[in-house]
Amino acid sequence: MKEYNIVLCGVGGQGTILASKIIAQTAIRLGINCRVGETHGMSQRGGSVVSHVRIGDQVFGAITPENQGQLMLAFEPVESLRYMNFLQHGGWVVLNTHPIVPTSVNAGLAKYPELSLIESELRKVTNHIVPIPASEIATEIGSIISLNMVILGAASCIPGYPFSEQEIKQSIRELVKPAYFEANIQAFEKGVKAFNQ
Amino acid sequence: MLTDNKPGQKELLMGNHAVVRGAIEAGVQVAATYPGTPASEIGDTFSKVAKKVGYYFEYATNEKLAFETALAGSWSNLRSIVSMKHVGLNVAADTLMSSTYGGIVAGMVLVIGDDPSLFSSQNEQDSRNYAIFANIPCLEPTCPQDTKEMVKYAFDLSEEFHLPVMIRLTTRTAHCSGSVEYSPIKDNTKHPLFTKDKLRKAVLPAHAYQLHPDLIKRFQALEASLETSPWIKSELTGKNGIIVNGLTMNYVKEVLQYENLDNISLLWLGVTNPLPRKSIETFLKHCDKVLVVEELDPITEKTVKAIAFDHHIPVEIHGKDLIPSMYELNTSILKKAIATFLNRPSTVSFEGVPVPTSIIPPRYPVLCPGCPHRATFYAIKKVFPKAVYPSDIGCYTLGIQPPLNAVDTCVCMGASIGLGAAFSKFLPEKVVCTIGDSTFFHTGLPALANAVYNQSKLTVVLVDNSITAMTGQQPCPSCGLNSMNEPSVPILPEKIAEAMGVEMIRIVNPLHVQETISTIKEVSAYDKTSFIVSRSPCCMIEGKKDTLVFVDQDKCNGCTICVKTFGCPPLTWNDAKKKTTIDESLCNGCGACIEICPQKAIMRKGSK
Repeated sequence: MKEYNIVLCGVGGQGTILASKIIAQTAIRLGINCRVGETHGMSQRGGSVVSHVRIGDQVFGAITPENQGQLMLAFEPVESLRYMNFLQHGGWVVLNTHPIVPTSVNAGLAKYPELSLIESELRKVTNHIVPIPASEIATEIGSIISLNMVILGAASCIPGYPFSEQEIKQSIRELVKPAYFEANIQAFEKGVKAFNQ
Repeated sequence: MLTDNKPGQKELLMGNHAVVRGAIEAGVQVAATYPGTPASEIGDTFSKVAKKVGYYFEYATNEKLAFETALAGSWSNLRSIVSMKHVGLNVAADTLMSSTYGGIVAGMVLVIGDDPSLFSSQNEQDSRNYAIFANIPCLEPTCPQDTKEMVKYAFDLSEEFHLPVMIRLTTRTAHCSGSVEYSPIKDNTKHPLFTKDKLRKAVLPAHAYQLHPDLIKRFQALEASLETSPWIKSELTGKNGIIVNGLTMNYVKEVLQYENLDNISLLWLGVTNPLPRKSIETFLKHCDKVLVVEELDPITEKTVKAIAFDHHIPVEIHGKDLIPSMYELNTSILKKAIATFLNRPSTVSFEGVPVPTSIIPPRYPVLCPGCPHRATFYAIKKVFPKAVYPSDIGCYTLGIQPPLNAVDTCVCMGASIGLGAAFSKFLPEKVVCTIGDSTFFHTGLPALANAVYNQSKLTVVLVDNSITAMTGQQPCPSCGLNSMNEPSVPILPEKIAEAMGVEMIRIVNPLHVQETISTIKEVSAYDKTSFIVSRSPCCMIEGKKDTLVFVDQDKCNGCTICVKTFGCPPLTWNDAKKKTTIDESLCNGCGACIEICPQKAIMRKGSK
């Protein structure tokens, strides 16, 4: 298949790593070459994090070259801006609208931009922005931990996304503990629904 | 499953996991580590499956000891592997440098995680220099599948030439995931056997004198043999050639593909020490112009230039004139370098929309919500607002961030006490150093002995969360669990301090903030080495408390002390109301902020 690059960004602890793994596992199971690039360590909690899932037979490096990303999954609004250089013109953004305010803002050292400003900045690269109150949806159905599943659900509806809902759900089954499977699937489906609204 | 003996099975593995699978397939019997990013998951994974696979695993208290565990394994005729981050090799270097003289017995593999771009390290040292320094082979994979195969190859190579073999990963190879196909698992039930051989195992001056020529001979034989290694691949096509190391081949391949360049000769070096001089010579003779692509130091480039000089090859050689000597490389950087090298405009754009940095608030990594270190730093700052604060390597290094600003120095493991003891002799200011429990056991022990012995006036605050937290909560000697997470007797830092002759020792729970402040005050007038153990378990282990805390909006007067001097992430400033609130999704309920609020507006839920 043609190259498909997904950039997942957010704040350490939001579950971007598991989300990347679920997408990559789907590719591997279907026999499609895939690379995941992550950074671990110091950003474990509270720092800005990004991971890349690159799918396609001719993909070698773990990091998407700038301007070559087809899809961004932004787990936190302002983080979408920090990595928007990876996105190609006309690419898609699933944007969780719930901010996590950095300590620099609480300490009065910086300002958190309005959501409308974030969206207008993103529109410099694409109009395909899908804002979703993913944190609120996850909390409502039981736990903020399932945020990543809500986002994966919304992502599965993106035109050109390489995998079907069923294919991603199969990977969720393979990778999450059986006890949490139903809750995760529920969150995933809420994400699908949120996209369609 | 990582331990399945199902040849042909394909799994999504991270580079670090592929190391473990490779070692298991090679019949490993001893694995040791001291955790350090980007190599931490190697040890963690070895720890998880040790019992199932049946090898000995150890979290050593530092990298030198981990290396020695593996060396003893090899000398006991058991295949052994040791992993660490690049700077860990500085600590293990003493043993490495002399282990090569007599050589090893069963295969011994040394996995190093380098960190170009310094994602979580204090420097960008290039470990290939150690391979050259110690006369050991260095192998560099491109992807998880290569990594697994190289580990197996390294064990065989190590046994053939009686040398430890280095696998050099970088953050990018260690933390890149991809598909890995399994091969059969070798038997790992060989009985240990120690053969006495004083000449080779005791490098006394007279022995080492005899062994050095032997080492050089072995290395030369290795060099000749590696010319035909499967980890060197040469494609001779056009007259423009690229010589490329390990992982950077990925970026070169992508550039050639994006740019539709198919007439470039390529020499890929998965072996980066010793370099295959004959293959390089042949490649240089074929080409008119060559670009050497390598991350960090110009090591391959220098050798390539030397080969051209030695053989009078009239070839134009580029390297660090077009490729940066710092930070990790990527497809974008190489696109530009290759365009310049070929003197040909690029046909593809890797320039994204400019990031609007001016409107993005910085989001530094911070201590977790409820981290006891934050409360310790807060108390230190209350008592000593203007002290000099040497600190160390661990989560608590994050005390450097505003609003805490309680870290002045951070150099390497254990340096807080070493520097602090000396500062306390030279400077008029009070010196208060912070060091974690795992770091204290790693290299803090000799430093504390030195501080007491040389009568320094240092105050050591041991921030004891009873775990190696930063790298992923690995056990350490103070936690009461051994390397296999089985119960053991904790070694208490205060008892060590006492045995070393420290007379002023105090133990506090930093979450009791006011009590901690009083204790630190008590110690402040003391003019010899003092030792405060600030002990509270890592909040990642403790988990979220059942009852959280809240801010009584009537009592909060908007003084901002909590957000501007304590700065726990859930404390959120509401600019419209001019009051603080608590984000319950982040709060872990430690309650330290209750004692910090002068208005007593922060309360535990259910209390009045």
